[in-house]
Amino acid sequence: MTVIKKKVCMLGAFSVGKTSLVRQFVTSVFSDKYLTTVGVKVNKKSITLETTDMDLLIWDIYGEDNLQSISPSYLRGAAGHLLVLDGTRRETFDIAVEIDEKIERLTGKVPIVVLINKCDLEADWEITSEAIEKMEARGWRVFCTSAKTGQGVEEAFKTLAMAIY
Amino acid sequence: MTPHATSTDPVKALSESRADSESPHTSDAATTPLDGVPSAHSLTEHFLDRLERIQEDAVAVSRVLPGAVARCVQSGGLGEALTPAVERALLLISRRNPRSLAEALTPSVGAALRRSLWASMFHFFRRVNFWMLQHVSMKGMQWRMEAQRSGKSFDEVVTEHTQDSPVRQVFLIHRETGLVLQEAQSLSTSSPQDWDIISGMLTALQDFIHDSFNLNQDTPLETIKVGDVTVLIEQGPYAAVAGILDGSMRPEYATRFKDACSRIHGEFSKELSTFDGDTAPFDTCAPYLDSCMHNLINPDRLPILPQTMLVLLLPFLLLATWTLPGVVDSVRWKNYVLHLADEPGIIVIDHGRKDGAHFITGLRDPLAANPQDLLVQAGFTPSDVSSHWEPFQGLSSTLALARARRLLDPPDSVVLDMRDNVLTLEGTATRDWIRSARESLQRWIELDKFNMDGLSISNAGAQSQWLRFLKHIEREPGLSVITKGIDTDGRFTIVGLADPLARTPDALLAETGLASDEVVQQWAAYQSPDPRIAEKRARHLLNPPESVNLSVRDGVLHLEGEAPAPWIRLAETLSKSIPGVRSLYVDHLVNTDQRNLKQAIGRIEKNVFQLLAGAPDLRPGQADKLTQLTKDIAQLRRSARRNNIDFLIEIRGHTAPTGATQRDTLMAESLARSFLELLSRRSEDTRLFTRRSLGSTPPDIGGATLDKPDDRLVSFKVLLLD
Ligand SMILES: Nc1nc2c(ncn2[C@@H]2O[C@H](COP(=O)(O)OP(=O)(O)O)[C@@H](O)[C@H]2O)c(=O)[nH]1
Ligand SMILES: [Mg+2]
Repeated sequence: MTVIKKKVCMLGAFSVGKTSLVRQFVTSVFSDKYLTTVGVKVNKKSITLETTDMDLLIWDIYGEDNLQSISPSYLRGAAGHLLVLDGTRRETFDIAVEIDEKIERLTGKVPIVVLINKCDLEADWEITSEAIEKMEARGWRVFCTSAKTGQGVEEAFKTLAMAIY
Repeated sequence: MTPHATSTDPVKALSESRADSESPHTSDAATTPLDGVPSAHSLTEHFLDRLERIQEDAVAVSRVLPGAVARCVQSGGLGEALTPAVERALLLISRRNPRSLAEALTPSVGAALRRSLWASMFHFFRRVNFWMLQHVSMKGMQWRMEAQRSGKSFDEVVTEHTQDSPVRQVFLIHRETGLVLQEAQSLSTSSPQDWDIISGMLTALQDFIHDSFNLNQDTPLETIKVGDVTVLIEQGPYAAVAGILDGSMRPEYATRFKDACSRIHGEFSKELSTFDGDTAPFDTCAPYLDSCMHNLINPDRLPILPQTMLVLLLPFLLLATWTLPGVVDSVRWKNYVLHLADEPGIIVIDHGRKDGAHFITGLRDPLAANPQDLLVQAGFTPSDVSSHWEPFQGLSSTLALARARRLLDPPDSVVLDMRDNVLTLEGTATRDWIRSARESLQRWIELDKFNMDGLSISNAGAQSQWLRFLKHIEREPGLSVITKGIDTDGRFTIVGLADPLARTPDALLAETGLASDEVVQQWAAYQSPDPRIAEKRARHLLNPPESVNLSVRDGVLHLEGEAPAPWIRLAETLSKSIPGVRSLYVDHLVNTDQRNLKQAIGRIEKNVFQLLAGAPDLRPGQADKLTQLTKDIAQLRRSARRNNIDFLIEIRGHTAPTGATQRDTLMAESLARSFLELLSRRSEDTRLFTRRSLGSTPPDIGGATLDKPDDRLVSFKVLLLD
């Protein structure tokens, strides 16, 4: 069986839970301190699809500025992206739309899976089902996830893997 | 291309191409040879016309040619098509005018030649040393003995002792994605690490360094050294060959890596440019990577033998002993003359050798040092040297100016003059020159005999502005200098880290008045832990309401005042990601939602309602009180939700004692039920309530008693749940 290798990027506003989601999905041997020093941390996860194995190299980015730190060199060569929103902060949706437009400008269209994260915080939930419909209308595949309970995380990553295979 | 181009008869080809072209020229088709025999006149006309059109065609083709070639290059095949033509052209040039070709090639060939000459000398030295090591050294004897003892061949033993393979691992990394396409490792290494991740990080690190210092993407980052490990990277257009070395870099590796990289690009160019995640096609490039790890003679393990030095230097040594005495003598003499020339008040006019002995003549100020003494110091016997010194006097003449000029060697921007026996210097010069000139003059003449007031430091203004700029930067929180200096164009350079929240270096520069084109700046963004910046960042990130006072002291983020619960929770999360903030201090921060919660509970629990004895209803006059209670309950629900707290309201029934405890309990129970009923009629959510019978125990509220026989009361208790 051959192994396919793909690069994918974690994208989304500050503090939506990108790093936490990767940590939930991957058991990493390397420390997270590279995020603040180099600005990027690369993680690897092997996934078994129907006919093949795939190694996902997941690039996670650090930055509190939402958009500027997404540079062309970070996106270069990525086969797909995981775009993360925070379900308790409605403004992260607008940032996600901006990021989506920026990616398309810089690298052209690639498959994108959207994760509305922190779904364990029901009390502060701010995203309505109409909003989710709106996202699906943009052609996004949308998942509600929680890096805390693990809900939806595996499915979202697998969906992206299938889309870029 | 049209088929006419292959036609052998050019006239026919032209006429055919014209016949089927649709240009206006076809209208005079009557003059073409196809219409029978034309007149001589029309034939001339025809060819003139034809000639003109060929020229026009050439102009038109020249316009589209560059585009057409570019397209061919994209779709491939042009190289193959052109190769024979280019080869032939090169051959022709080299026959007809070899000089122009040589001139074009010399710059690169010359450098390569020099390098290879030096390399082959070095190689020769190493081979001699290696031979000596094996045949005329203690080590060689030991190896021979070892070979006899162990039964191995002598060569095997030598190889064991002198070669090693310090390249541990080699990877082929896809440049665009940072993915590992193929890897090879030496047998002796075990590798628990995941090279895909390391390769990705290496790629990100390269991007980071390139972006931070605005390097061109094609500037290769050749080696990264960490402790005893060196990472060597050879960049190709699509992929990089990277290796992990034990120990430090040697030029042989770079050559091997370059070679492997270009071979892989040659053989796998198609696979590399279309790579889409499948690494299987690259399995066959493993031999190229292996070639980077082959054993190498390690020069560190080969001592340089004194015998080798001796053998190689012997011819030179012989030559030296032959000529040495003469050389030593002439070097000593030269030093003596140079020393005299440096001496103030002495001018050498002539010196040399006459009849096998040294002679020297010159002028000497009586106050200057004695040349004869210096002669003895230099190791000569005065009687062996013919010295002739003419005295000359003081500062009274142009001679003095000449001496000064000789002593000081002033730049063109300085004018020397003698006024009233005072040597004056005017103009501009560097600070260093002025300092050394002052020192020389002080040693040479008295203080009141020279005047340097007319000298100014060149570019002193910029220098002091620059120093002010540096001081500003040092004082500014969030800016940190890595290196600074002056480049070859004389511009100031500075490289450092700048926090986006700090004042920009450009603004500071503008304040000093130093022109921005005199300074080359490179600033990489970082997050400063300076408390003032941390405070700014905290304010930026947390966006505190006006009622909150925010400050950072000793790495602690202090929040004082009052704020709603969701904001406090957000602040607790976000503050963890602020560099320079270690912990959070919120003891003086009032949670307004918590306060509202307590107040609502207090109001609810103060209530006592009187119920009718016979029916499940309130006694008259308590309607307003009930309305107020429902408002307080609504307030309680709001605050509890914002604090993430669940609660229940216990409705407690109390009845005047009837004499039988059992009956009291049932009665009180039904009072609580009646009140809940009442609330549910006012569409309160009954799930928020629970009931409890307190029998004939009165409510624990000041003034509430069960003294009258028809006292029927309910009171409330709010239960907070975790
Ligand atoms: N309750 C909850 N908290 C989360 C979840 N995901 C992330 N967080 C928290 O949100 C904060 C920011 O997460 P982080 O992964 O650093 O976000 P990033 O900036 O997008 O990488 C951290 O305090 C996490 O503990 C989630 O699914 N549920
Ligand atoms: Mg992160």
